[in-house]
Amino acid sequence: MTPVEAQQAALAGEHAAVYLFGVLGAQASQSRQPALYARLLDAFHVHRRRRDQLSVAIAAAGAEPVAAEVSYDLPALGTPAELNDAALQVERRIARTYGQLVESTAGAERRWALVALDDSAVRQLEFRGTPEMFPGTA
Amino acid sequence: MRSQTRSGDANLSFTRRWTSRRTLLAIGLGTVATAATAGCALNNPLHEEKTPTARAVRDLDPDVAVAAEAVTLLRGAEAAVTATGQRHAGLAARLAGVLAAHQAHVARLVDSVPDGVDTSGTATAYVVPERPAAALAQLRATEQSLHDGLVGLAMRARSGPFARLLGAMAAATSQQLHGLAR
Repeated sequence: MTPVEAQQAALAGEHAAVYLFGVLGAQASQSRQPALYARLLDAFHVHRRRRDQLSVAIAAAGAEPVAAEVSYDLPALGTPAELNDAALQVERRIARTYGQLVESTAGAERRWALVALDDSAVRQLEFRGTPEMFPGTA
Repeated sequence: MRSQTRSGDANLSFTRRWTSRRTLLAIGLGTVATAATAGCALNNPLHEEKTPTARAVRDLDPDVAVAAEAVTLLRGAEAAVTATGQRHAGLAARLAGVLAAHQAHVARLVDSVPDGVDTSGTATAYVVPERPAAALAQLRATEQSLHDGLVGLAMRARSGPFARLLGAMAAATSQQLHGLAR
């Protein structure tokens, strides 16, 4: 996978993450689940920022950044536990995408991917994930 | 999270097979063999003299050197965790996950380097503070240093899969740090 292909894959993942965290945040109650709401909102902002950074990087490399899908399939989102589970799933998947980006890049791009991988791994714990031996690889 | 408008969930899926651990550093094999037969490599299987890993790997393939440095870092952190748990038994259970992660990471690295490369590492003496809170704070600093070291090594790695492995170890260390901070 070329660096740009890996960036495009990460961007596609971030498009999905932004969409899903937007939906998850909308499903959470700020008054009844303030902690969960805050975590979802924070994740939404982080992924939106990463999406924008990837778009800029891909365009700077002379490629056309992939567009977001019109919509994405959603898991069951009836309870706070289901919101947590969905958020955790998103973070695990995006961590694997960043693992691929680390593998496919060098220099500043790799450093950026390492930070993103690190952040996603820690964010998994905030959504009731458990520590892994090798986050972003499985 | 599958797209409703395009096929598959390639946007978030990861289907690439994990590269064999043995192949991660395969590029180093040739260099190791060449260096060993030329008599310029330290700690090689054809040379009886044992020397510190940092020097031993100097002339070897760059990624073998990175792996050996990572092992040294991890063994140092592992020794710090072990010493802290022994000095403060009340912390031992809390440190179990950190210790398990370090041991898993060392095992993966040792399994990755070519046979004959010395990965015994040389951990420096670790003095555990008397008070548990101080011991934990010092250990967090040690783990942070390990994390930063692993990130630096991931940046240096020439093999993409090996960089990913080191990045995963750094991320795992961050997860453990998160747990220690709570």
